[in-house]
Amino acid sequence: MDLAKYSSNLLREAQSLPEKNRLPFIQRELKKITTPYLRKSIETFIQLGIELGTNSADREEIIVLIHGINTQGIWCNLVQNYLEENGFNKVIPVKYGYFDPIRFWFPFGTRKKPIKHIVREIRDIQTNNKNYDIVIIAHSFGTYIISEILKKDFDISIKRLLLCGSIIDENFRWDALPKFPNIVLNECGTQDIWPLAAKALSWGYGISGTFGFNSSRVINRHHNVGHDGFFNKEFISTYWLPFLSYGEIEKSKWDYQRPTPSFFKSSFPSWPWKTLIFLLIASPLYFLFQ
Amino acid sequence: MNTSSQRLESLIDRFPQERDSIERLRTLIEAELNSDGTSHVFSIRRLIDKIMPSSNFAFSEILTVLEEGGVLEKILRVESPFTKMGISDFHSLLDIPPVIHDPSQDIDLEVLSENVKLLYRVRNDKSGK
Repeated sequence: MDLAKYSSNLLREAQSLPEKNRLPFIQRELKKITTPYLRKSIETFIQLGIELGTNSADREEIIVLIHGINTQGIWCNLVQNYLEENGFNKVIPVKYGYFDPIRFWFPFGTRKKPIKHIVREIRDIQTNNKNYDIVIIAHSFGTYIISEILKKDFDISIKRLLLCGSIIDENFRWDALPKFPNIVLNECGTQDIWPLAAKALSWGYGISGTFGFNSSRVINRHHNVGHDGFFNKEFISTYWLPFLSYGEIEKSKWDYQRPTPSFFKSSFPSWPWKTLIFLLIASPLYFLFQ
Repeated sequence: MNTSSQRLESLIDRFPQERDSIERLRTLIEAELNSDGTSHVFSIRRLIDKIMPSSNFAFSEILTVLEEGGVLEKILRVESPFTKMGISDFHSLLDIPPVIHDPSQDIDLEVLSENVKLLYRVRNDKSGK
């Protein structure tokens, strides 16, 4: 049972009734709840809502979805539909078009265009929805984009940030951000090799999507999944709905079971792969122009 | 570490975004526990003003955990619509009868939800409450 949603619906229904019928209705509904703890919790929420004259579990939120490279962000549609089915009225996929692996790999200049596009879009959403809080779900290169935005764009205010398949540097200075979101949750995929490859083969990326961030500001939650293993209804329902609804972190069983990563997997990204690739490309060119 | 501190720590794990409000709640509880035996009753509005939670739902959960753990006492007070004084206290909405006697007017009143107020008190064994 999604407790927040159930309680909000009950409260809304109670508030729509004439004053005379409200208390008997609440009492009748509470009697149906057999678990004492749940009954107490819902009773508190309803009474609090009635006294404050609000029927929302939280301030209204806009969920913004940012996809990764080599895709048109098909997962965004699945997540959007599922969240909308579960009571989130405003879920907006923000796209920047197809971004190919070569522009992703190249460290100079090519990454700026999608970052500029996304910051413009978020700013527009923020301006047109002043009464809403912004929650961002970013995947893969989308996580890199949002990390760059958070570093520089002081006017962007994010309530909650959910990262998955992150390729942000694991030592990213979350503590140095001008505006840190209320909470940052990083979903790590133990089977995800793409953050390792991104760090090994290019510059500016990290392995946070596989092993997590080295920062106490971020909550790392590990799952036995690959790069896209988060985009299914079961995962979203178990882990994302409680977080998006009211910031609750459901523990992942994998966090208690996951084995120590192998030496190869741990050290692979630190080997000088990108330098070798650079030399392989640069050497023939050097001799050619000599 | 005492029981209320342990419970508050576990609440921070569960609701990390409410860390600051849980810390404010901790300060309030400690002040009450260290008081000279006078136990204040806080209305839910006053608590929200002091604690400033970012989510009403999370705050309800936090209050329920603390109530279950014996740190807080929840009081549902039926007030007289005429004098705004409390007529009777209950621990659950389910315990409130449909009609209650208002001694200030010497009449029987039908209890409406607008006359029920949610209050909390820190359980302080020193004060015997």
